[in-house]
Amino acid sequence: MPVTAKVTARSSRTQVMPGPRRVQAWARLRPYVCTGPALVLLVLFLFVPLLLVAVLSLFEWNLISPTPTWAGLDNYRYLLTPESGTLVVQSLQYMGLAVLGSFVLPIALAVLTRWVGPRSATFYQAVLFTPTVIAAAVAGLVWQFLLLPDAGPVDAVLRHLGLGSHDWLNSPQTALVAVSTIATWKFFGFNYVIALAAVSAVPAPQLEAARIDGANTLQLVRYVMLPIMAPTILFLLLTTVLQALPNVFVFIQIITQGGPSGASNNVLYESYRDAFQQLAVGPGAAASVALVVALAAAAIWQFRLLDRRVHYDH
Amino acid sequence: MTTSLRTTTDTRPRHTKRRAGRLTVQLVMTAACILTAAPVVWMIGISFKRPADIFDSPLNPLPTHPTLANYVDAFTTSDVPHQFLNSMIFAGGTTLGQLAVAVPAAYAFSQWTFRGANVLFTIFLASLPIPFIVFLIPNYILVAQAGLLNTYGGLIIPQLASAYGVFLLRQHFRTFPRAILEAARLDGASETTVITRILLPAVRGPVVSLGVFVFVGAWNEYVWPSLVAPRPDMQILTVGLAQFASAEGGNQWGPTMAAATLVSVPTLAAYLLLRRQIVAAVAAGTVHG
Repeated sequence: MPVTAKVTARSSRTQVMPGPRRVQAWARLRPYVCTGPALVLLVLFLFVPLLLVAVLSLFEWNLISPTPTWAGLDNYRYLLTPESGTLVVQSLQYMGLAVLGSFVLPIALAVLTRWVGPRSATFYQAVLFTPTVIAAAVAGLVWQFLLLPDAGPVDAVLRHLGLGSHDWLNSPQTALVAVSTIATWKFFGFNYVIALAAVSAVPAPQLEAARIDGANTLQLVRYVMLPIMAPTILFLLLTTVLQALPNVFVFIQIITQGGPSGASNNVLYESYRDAFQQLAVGPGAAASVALVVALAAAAIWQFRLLDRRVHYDH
Repeated sequence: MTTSLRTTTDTRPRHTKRRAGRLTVQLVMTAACILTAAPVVWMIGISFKRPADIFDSPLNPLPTHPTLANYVDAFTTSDVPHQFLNSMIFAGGTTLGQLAVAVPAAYAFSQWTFRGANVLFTIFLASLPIPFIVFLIPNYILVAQAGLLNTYGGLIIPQLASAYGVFLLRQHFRTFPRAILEAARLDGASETTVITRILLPAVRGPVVSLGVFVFVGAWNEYVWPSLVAPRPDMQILTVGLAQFASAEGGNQWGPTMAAATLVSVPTLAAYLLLRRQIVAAVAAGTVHG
């Protein structure tokens, strides 16, 4: 009698999972089979390139000759020239402008949106996000037209205001700011949507309570909303700094090519130009390595800040 | 009595103050919306203007004598249909590829505990903030060495290295009640059935969100395709557009705007139809860092 019971129990188990041993092996393997392709792709096109660029930075190579020649740290010595100093300063200017336009401004507008009705909020979000779906190549060409000296609409407005005309994209004084403004137009809405999601997640009762306690609007923002939004704010700061140079890349490539006389250039674009236009892969790779190290340091510093400031789980 | 009196006298200026505040907010937001929308309006407007009218009144984007001549010009100068096809293959392939890679990985991370799961997930997380463009040089060399320049494979495969989809879908898969999946497994459903028949239909929203988001991003890509697929018969729309504009010497604004509008029509249409899904893909994947 007990034997039969055991057999039925066993057979019912086999019904669910035929061939227990094979199933167990498969159950142990399948997580790796499922995550494998994603992992292999990441390793192949993000982590191998990281190594490859470090190796290439020690060689002299023109992309064409069959074998690169050893250069040691020569390519890094080139990074210490005054021209590179200018590139670093301009890269930091791009990052600073990105922090203003794609970090401070979207968060400010998202906070403001808390004070309009939900229907208006949806409308503002829909409009402000639109440039995100427009190709950067398209945006670059359209803005080239908008910023035409004399004949363009921007100059027409400025003339009406009595501010004269400017060749924004072709004068060394304004090219960097103009390129950065175009990138702000294109990428602003992305961060606005993220900030708005965080603003909407601030519980209304907490705002009401603070209001009843006599907090004015500025205090409400400073002491209730922003602390609750802290994880998102730090996340946005991180991505804004990391994305600053990638985000202006297309506009530089299509509109200014880094000019006039290098005024709108930066480290990332220069590394691309070294490799693909000057066919000097080594210096380009060295610049990439320097950039990656700098960005990684910034990222680690911000992650630390994030860990200390807010408790979150993933 | 005194308290109620004080509240009534206090509320009035407060209300007007609030209304003034709200009006200011609406003014600021409206200004931001106008500045954001203007370039798109100008692009479409100029594309229908006669060449002679483009600089007539710089502040009026609307065509007084609408014409399709610019579109005819764009189509005859540049192989738009072929570039359109290339864009479809590139964006479609990137989307399908990313989904095919991200869905099983997200499922594994959300449903199973396995050795090394934490390490693997940390690798995925660590790769999130790395912008692909930073590794343009080594990726180009890898693709060139593999003999994949000017091929769809060379265009698409490196674009599939993205942890964002895994990350986004895992968030949604985790919130799906485990008990339902367990019940199905006990009823004898295979793991594939559990994914395709129960989980995927239930989390269709986020999967579609991710798909549309990836498609739009790939459609708009420029730097990578211009580098690895510059040959005329392999160019996608954005690459063709930039070349068209520079070949025209930057003076043919009508045809350039027509071509720019053509590139934007599919993504703008997708945005009009699927705005909520696209926005959700941006807002959801990031809030909980």
